[in-house]
Amino acid sequence: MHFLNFWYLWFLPALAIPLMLNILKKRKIKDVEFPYFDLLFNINVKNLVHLKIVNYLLLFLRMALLAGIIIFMARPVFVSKNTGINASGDIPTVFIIDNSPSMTYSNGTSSFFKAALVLAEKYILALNRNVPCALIYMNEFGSIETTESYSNPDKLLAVLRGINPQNHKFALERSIELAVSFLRSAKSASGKIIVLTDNQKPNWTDFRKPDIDTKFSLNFVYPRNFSANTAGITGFRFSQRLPLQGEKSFITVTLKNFSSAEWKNIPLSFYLENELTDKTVINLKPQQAVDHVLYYKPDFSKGFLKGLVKFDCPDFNIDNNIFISFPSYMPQPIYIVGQQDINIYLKAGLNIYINESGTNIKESKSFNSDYAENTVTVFNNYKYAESTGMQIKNLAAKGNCVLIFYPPDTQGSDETPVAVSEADLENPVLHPYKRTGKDVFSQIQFIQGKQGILFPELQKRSVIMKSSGDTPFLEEITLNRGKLFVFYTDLLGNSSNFVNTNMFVPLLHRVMDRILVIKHGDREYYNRSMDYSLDLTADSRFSVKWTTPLNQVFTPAGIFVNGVYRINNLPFDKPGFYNLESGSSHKIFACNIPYFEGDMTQTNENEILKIFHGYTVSFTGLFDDSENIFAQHAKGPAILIFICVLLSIIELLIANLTG
Amino acid sequence: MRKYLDTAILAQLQGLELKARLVVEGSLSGMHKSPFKGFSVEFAEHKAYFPGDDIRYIDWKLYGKTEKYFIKQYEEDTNLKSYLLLDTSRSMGFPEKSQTKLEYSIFLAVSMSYLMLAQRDSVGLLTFNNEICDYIPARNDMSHLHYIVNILEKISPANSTSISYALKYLASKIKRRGLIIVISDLVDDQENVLKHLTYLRKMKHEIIVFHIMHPDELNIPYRGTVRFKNMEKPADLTAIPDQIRKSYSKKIRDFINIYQQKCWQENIDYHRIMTDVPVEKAILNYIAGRKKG
Repeated sequence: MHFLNFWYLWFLPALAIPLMLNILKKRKIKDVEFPYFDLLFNINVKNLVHLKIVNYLLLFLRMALLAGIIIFMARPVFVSKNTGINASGDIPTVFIIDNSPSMTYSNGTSSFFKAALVLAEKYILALNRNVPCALIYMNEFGSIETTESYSNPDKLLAVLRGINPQNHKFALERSIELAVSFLRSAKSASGKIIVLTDNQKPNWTDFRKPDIDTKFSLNFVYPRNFSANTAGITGFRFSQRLPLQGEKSFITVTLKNFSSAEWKNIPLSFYLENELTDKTVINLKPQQAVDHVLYYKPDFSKGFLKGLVKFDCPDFNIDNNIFISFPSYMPQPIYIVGQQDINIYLKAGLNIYINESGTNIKESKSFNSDYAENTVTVFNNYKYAESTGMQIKNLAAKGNCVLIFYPPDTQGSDETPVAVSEADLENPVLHPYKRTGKDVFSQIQFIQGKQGILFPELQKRSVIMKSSGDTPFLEEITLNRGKLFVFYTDLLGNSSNFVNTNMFVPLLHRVMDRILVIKHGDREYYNRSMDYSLDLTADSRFSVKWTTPLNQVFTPAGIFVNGVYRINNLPFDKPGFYNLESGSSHKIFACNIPYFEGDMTQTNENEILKIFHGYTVSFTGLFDDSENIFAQHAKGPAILIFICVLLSIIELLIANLTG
Repeated sequence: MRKYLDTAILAQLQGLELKARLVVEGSLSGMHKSPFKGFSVEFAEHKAYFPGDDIRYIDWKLYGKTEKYFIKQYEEDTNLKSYLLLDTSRSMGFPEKSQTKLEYSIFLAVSMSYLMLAQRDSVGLLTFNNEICDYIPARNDMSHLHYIVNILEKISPANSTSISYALKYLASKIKRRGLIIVISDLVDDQENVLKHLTYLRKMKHEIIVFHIMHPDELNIPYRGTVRFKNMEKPADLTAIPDQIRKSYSKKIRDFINIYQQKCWQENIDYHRIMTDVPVEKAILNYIAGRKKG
């Protein structure tokens, strides 16, 4: 038996209380001289034995009651032997591979991640054919991906071998949710969810238990009895700033010295696409952490870059290589018209005007004069109106590019239900734009090759991006000399949670790249001097005041360096896509990416058992064969309370009947 | 003022009469029936007239019918010799912390003595436990009461009980038929006690048994675990009263019932007195009950 609140068992000596009271009671016998003693004596010969039995019974009941209460408070969990990780190969199984950066931590022989892959492979090979199974892991965007197999588990092996650690926090809650969905679809009487993880505390931060069937068992495989007593890289991050990089891009590596010895002159290197791009030495005292910025010059043509952070600590017995992958786009700052003092930058870069109404972008100036050449006009939450349709057409005719955020429910005059899946800031997963089986995109009013109400001059239409379910998410429409980029969502995330993911800003950058190429064919366009003779190679400070949706006033401090718009103090801890409101009408969107995972502190197993109360949960060692399986009965506490109440009633009855 | 000579109690007893139910032999003319016939108030029988008889007692009405002289004979009343047998054993010292049965019994004995002496009967006293403590022959002088009270004031509960020994002793002391009043808790061998009471009864004595009991002896109202100690022998036992109350109640009821039945059979007046009833009330109740019976 295992106890979730083990320390309550320290109250067990309290069981001696009834015993002591019994002894005291015996010592406190009242003496009475009684005249008719002989009459009493005849009765009491048999009564004495009875009395002793009753006394011992009462003593036992009281001790049992006390023990019951203590055990109830200690929350016992029974250890089972049936449904562990090595149970029958016929049970549908889902493998969840935590491939967050901290999994690259090594115990000296192998990194957690490698060990997890080896074990997962072993478990997969042990599965029988035709057993439904799935593999869940994180892709380079931080999204959770699922590979399923209903006929051949070996299919998973190829995928498994291709999984790499990713620089995102692992979305455990979402993974378990997907695993449960898969197991339900398998329609089996039982199911196993095997989570191969390092079980770091951040994995369980704000964890809300998904709705899980009790027939499914949860098996956590992690380095048990592990404590980070050696040095290591615990993760890395891009700092808290917009992920916009210029010529001198950088990443920040966070290092923490877990050992008791001081580090002196330990080389830290950064390789980009197998080339050494930066190198430094680290000095770090025990238990100290340091952020180190590694600079590099990105190759924008690749989109995503593969890097390697190498830390050559001589007494470093863990894996000293961290492979990272990160987006690298042409730096395209997104500016929002907000205050006059930043307008000079707006002329220098691409301007995205966002107005809540979507129709009256500027009131003080005429439409055409306000949006001159070299700007990108953005209509957010666009609603069709004859006047704006004409304005868009005019813009396109002049060769301007227009971004339209066109949520599906704003088509025509009919209010269509918004096809929205829940916003999930941490786990960017595209959900189908369908609800109750109705495809809301069927109501879009322009169709390729045909004239529509909105754009009769439509010349070419191509779907750039599809979401799951083959519904278009982004389309490029050629209209006269201009381009319309239509996002079938709004910027607030009401129509799609995609805008709330950390993939959205890179997507916008890519669109901007496309617009720049179309208009100028010059990637350095944004960097050139315009009418305002701004030297963008020098650091220029700026200021802006933002009000968050929670009415928190935020003044970001940042600099504009080499075309990179850096905000150094975003007030967000969680990753995701945020919008900040400036004044009363304008909004700015900023993205914050987390990569720092924690300090390798593990979550207590009891905490996990409490989260999954009522379920069968097992814990298995990643590097050893230690295994504990806890079969938690959902009604266990109620049964214990019932027993305690029953004992109380019996005790009261006996005590009253016998005095 | 003497402790046991409570004028308030005695005042309530004034005017009461305790008549012997059976005939008793006395030396003085009194209120009790004597076995000796004479001229008194209550008619007994007719007797043929012989010269020399007092002509005042000739029944003239009968002469008118029969023309023969008959003398009316009446029951002769006499005074009563009563003996109080008071148990002073250790068991009469119950309960320890309030008025003991012995103290109550002394009040009863004094009151009875006063009652008897007030109606010019003779009263004797015998106190006993497992031996005879004091014996005072019967006298009918009111000053005798003080003598009795003097003796009673000095006694304290001690030793075991032997009622039969006391009864035997008394039987050897009294020659004439009289009234014997036993005041005791009867904690003794029941069979033996009844045997000796029957023996005295055979000797034509009228016997009244006052069974003195404390309420706690009926219902053992103690809580928790109690070590019961024998008051007259070195023995004890531990029990929870709640567990044995029912059985004990049956036992004590049986014990009392046997006395009641046997005494009734032998024409012995058995009366149980609880010590929570005031003495004067207990006596009044007894006398009222005796008149009815």
